[in-house]
Amino acid sequence: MTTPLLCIRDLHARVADREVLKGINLEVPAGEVHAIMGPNGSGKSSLSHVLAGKPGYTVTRGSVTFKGQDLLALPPEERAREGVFLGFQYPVEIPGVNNAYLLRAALNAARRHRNEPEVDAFDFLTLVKARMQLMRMDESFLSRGVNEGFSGGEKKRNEILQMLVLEPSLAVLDETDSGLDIDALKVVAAGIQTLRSPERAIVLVTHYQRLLDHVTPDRVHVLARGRIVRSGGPELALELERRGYDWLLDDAA
Amino acid sequence: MSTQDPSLDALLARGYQHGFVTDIESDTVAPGLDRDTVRFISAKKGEPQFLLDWRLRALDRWFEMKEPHWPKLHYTPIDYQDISYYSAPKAKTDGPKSLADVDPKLLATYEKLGVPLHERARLAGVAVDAVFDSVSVATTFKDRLSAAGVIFCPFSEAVQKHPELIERWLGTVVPYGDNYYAALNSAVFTDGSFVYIPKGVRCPMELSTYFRINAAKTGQFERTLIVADEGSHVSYLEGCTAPMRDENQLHAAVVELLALDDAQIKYSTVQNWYPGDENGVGGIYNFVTKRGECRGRNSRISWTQVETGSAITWKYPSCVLRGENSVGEFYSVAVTANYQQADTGTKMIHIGANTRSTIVSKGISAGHAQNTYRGLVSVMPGAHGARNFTQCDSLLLGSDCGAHTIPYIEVKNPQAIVEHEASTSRISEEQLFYCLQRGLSQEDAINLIVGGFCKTVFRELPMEFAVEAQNLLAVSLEGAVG
Amino acid sequence: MTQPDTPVSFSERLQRDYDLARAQGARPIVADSLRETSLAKALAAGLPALRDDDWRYARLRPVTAAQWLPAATADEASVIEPLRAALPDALPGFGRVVFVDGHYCASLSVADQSFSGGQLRHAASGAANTRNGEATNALQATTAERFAWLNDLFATDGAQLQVTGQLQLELLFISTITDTAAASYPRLQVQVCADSQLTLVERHLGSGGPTALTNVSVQVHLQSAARLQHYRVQAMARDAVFMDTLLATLDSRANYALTFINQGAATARSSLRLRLQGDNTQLSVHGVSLTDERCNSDTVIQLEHVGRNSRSEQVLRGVANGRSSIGLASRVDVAASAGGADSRQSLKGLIGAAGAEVNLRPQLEINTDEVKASHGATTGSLDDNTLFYLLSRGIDPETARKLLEWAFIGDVMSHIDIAGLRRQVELTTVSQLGNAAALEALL
Repeated sequence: MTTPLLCIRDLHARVADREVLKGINLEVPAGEVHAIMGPNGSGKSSLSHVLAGKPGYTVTRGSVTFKGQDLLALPPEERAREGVFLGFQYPVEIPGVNNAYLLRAALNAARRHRNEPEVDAFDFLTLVKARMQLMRMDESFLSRGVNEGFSGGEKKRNEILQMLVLEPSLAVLDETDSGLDIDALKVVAAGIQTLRSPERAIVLVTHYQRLLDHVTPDRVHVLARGRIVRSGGPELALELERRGYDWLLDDAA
Repeated sequence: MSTQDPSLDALLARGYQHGFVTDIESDTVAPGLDRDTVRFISAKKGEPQFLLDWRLRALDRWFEMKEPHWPKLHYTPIDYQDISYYSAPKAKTDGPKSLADVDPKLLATYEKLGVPLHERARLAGVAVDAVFDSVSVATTFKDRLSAAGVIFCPFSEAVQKHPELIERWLGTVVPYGDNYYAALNSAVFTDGSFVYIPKGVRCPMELSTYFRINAAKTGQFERTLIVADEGSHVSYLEGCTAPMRDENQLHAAVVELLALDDAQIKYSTVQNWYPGDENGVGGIYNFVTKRGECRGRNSRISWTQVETGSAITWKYPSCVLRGENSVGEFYSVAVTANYQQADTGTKMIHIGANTRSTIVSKGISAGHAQNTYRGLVSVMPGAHGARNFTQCDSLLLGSDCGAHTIPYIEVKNPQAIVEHEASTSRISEEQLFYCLQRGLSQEDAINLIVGGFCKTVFRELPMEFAVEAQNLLAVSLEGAVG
Repeated sequence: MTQPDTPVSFSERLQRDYDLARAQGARPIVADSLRETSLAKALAAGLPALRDDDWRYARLRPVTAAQWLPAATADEASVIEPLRAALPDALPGFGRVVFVDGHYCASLSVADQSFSGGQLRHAASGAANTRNGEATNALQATTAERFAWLNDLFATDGAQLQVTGQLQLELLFISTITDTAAASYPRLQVQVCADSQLTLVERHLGSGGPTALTNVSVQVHLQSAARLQHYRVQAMARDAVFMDTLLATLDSRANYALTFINQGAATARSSLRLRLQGDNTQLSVHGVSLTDERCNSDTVIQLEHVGRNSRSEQVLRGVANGRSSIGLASRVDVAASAGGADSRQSLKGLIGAAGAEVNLRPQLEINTDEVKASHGATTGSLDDNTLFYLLSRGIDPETARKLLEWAFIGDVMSHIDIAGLRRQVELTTVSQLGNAAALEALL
C-alpha cells in the first residue's frame, strides 16, 4: 500500500495560550473524500488553518506529512503551490485586486513551482470561463475586486471556482456549505464533485449533514474538544444528523 | 481686567504699585508676579528649599515663554501682572452674606440638580462657617485610607509630611516648562491634592475632592499629583456636578498621574464652573494641563470628563504610554451653550510596544457656542503593535454654533494601527417628531436624544456621577434649544 | 549669482532676488501691481514657523536652499529634441500643450493655441498680465498657500485657458533645470465658462536636482454649471523640489472632479484651496501620495463650503516606503451660510517599511447645524488575514505585499477615467512600488 496523501499524527496546536488541537490523528488517501464534523469550537477551523499554515497557530507536538514531505516546515505559499488548497469559511475582500489577476497569479505561481510553462492570457481565460460556467458565475465577476461586495454565497462559489482553476491535490473546505441557499449548495456540491479523482483528496469541514447529501464522503470523522472522537462511513453523518453531537461529547469528556 | 475687588483697590490706593505685602501674616499679595512673589508664596507655606528652587526655575522659564494663541479661542487678553497670586486662605467676607444674596438663577439650578440645602450655601460661596460637617466625614474616610496605606491629603500637607515623595515625583510627568500655563502653575501653585497608592494596594474607595473640604477653594492654580505604585488601583473623582461660584477669572491647574507596572488610575472629572451668563459676560477661563504617564508595563490610565462649565476651557488630558502593553483611555463629553468656548481633547503618545489607546469624544454645541476637539495620536518608531481607536462626534443644536474637529495622526511604526472616525450631526426633525408623538415634551425629547448621544461616555463614569452628569446635561442645555 | 551665499533672512533674500530678476530683465507675466502686492504679502508672512499647523509635515529646507530666480526660455533644439523622445505617449482625443521650465514650447506642443471649445493663451500669444484672478470670485492665496506669491513674483510665462464649449486638453510642464542656476515657475489659469466642459490632464515631469525648485501656481474658476475633470500627475525626478498651489472657485451648479497622483520629487508640497462658492456645487477630490527613499510629500487641502446644498467628497491615500514621510491634511470649513452641505472625507495611510512615516489630519470646521459631515482616517500596515489569503493561494509574500499596496490605492486609481492616462500612471506606480514584473499583469 502506498503512503496516504495526507497523514496527521498526534497533532497539538495552540492559539495564544489556548490549546485548540489536542492530538489529532488522521490519514486521507488520494482519491477519497473525508468529512470532518463537530460542534462549534471543536477545533475544525483550527485544523484547517494549521494545515494551510495560518500565522498565529503554534504546533506544539505531532507531525503532518503531505505527499511524504513535512508540510509544517513549508511557508503558506509553498503549501499552496504543493497543492494544498484551503477554502475559507470567511473569504476576505480585497478591493482593487481583481479576481482574474489573483487567479492567474496563483495558477502561474503553482505552475512555475512545478516547472511548467505559465499559461498565457488567452488560455487562462478559456480555462476560467469554462469553470465559471460550471459554477454559474457571470463573466463580469472576473473584473471585480476579489470578493468585493460579494454576498456570502458568491464568496463561497468564488472559493470553489478558485479550487477548480488551481486543481489542488488536497482541498480542505472549511464550512463551505454555511450560508448557502439550496440552489447555491447544489452548484457548490457539483463543483466539488468535479474535482473528485483518484489522485486527489478532499476534506470537507462541516457542521451539518446537508452538503454530504450531495457529496458522499468515504469517511466521516467527528472532532470534539480538539480530538477525533469517532470515525466511520457516511452512515455516521446520518446518525449525527439524527442524534446530534451530545452523545459523543460525553465520550470525549 | 478691571480691579473690582475692593481689597485690591484699597491696596493700590495705599500706594502699592508693585511687589507684595511683606508681612508674612498677611493673606493677600498685591497683583503682579516676579521672583519675590514666588518666594513669598513658598515662605508662606513653609516649603523646603528644593520646592522653592523648582518654582523659581519654572518662573524663569515662564518669563521666556509666549502665551499660546493657537487654540480656537477668543477672549480678552489676560494681564498676568494684574492678578494676585496669593490670596489663600480665602477671606470669609468676600462672598455673599447669605443665600438671599446669591444669584437666584444659580439657586434655581441647584434646585433642579437636587443639591441638598446645606450644600447650596457652600457651593455658592456663602461665608458661613461649618454649613455641614464635612470635616468629620473626611476624617472617617481618612482612617480607612491610612489603614490601607494610601496617602490622600492636600498638596501642602504632603510637602510637609512626605517631602521625599514630592521631590521624587513632582514634575516628572508635566515638567515645569511643559507649556505656558503649566509653567505659571509650577511657579505659583498654592495647593491641591496628593495621592500615593502603595504597591499592590487597591484603594478601598473612590477618592474624591468632594470630601476634601479643607483643601477647597485652593484657588486658581491647583496642583494634583497621583502616583499609583506597582500593581495598585485607584479611582479619583474631581469636581462637583453643581456649579461653583468662583471669583477667579483664570484657572490654570496641573494634574499629574503616574502609573507604574500593572497599576491602574481612573480619573473622572465633572467640570461645571461658572460659564458666564447667556450674553457671554463673566465666567471662568479654564486652562488646565492634565497628563498621565503609564510608565510601567501593563499599566492603565483612563480619563473621563464631563465638561459643561467655564466660559473658556482649554484642556487635553493626555496619556504617555511608555510601558509595554500599557493602555490609555479618554472619554469626554463637552457641552457648550450660549457663548461658551471649549477647546479640549487628548494626546495619546505611544512609545512602548503593544500600547493601546481609545478616544471617545462627544461635543455638543448650542446657542453661539464653539466646541473644538483637538487630539493627537502619535505612534513612535518603537511602538510595535500599537493600536488606537478614536471616535469623535459632534452634535449641533441651532444654526449659530460651531463644531470643530482637529485630529492629528502621526505614525512612525509600520505595524501600528490607528483608526479615527468622526461625524457631525444634529437632532433630526424625524427624531424629534417621533419622541413628541410618543408624548414627550420637546425639552425631554432633546435631553433624551442628547443623553443617548453621550451614553458611551457616561457609561465610563462612576455610578454616582453618571446620574448627576445626565441631570447636568439637561440643565446646561436648558433654554438652548427651541 | 552675484556673490557666494551669505546667510540672509528670508525677506532680505526675497527682496534681493526680486530686484535681481528685474535687473536681469526677466519679463514677468504678472502685472507690476499684483507683484508688488504679492511681494508685500510674502515679506509680511515670511517663512512658515516651526509650529505653523499648515506646514507641520512639510520639509522646507530644500526650498530655502534652492535658487529662486526664474529659468530663461529653454528653446534651443539641444534641449528640446531629447525631451521629445521622453514625452509620455499622446492621449487619444487630447490636444497637448507643453511648457518647458515654465515657458510655452511651440515645437513640442501638438495642438494649436485655439481650439473649438476654448482658447489657450500664453505670453507669446499675448496673455493678459494678470491672474484671471481679478474676477469677482477669485480666491486669494493665504499664508497656507504662500508659495503662490513667489510664483507671482517670478513667473515669466503661463497658460491662460478659457473654455467656452467642450474641450479635452493635456498640459505638460517639464522642468529641465538641473543645477542651482534657476527655478521653474509653471503657471496655469483655467476658466471654464458657464455650461462648458473641460477634461484637463496636467502633468509635471522632468529632471531635478537637490536644489532645483519647481514652483507651480494653478487657478481654477468654474462658472455656473461648468464641469471640470482635472487630473494632476506629479511625476518629477526623484531629487526634485516641488512646490505647488491650486486655488479653485466653483460657482453654482459647477462640478469639479479632481484626481491627483503625487509620485515624484524628493520634497513635494501641494497646497490646495477649493471654495464651493455657489449653491448646489459638487466637488470630488481623489488623491494618492506615494513616497520612498527619504522623500517627503505633504498635501494640505482646505475646502470651503460657502454656498448652499453643496456636496464634497475626498478620498486621500498615502503609501510611504523606505524612510520617507507623507503628510495628508484636509480641512473642511462649512460656513454658516452653507446649509445643506454634505461633506465626506476618507484619509488612509499605509506605512510600507520601518522608518517611514504617515501623518494625517482630517479636520472639520462646522458652523451650521444643517449639515452632514463625516470623516474617517486610518493608518496601519497590511491586514494579516488578507495577506494570508493571498499566501494560501500560492502568491509569494513580497508580491502579496505589493499587491495589497496596489489595492490600497485602487479607489483613487479607479477614478482615472482616461484609459491611456490610467495605464501610464499605473505603469509608473507599479515600477515605483517595485516588483514590477509581478504586478504588471494587473494592468
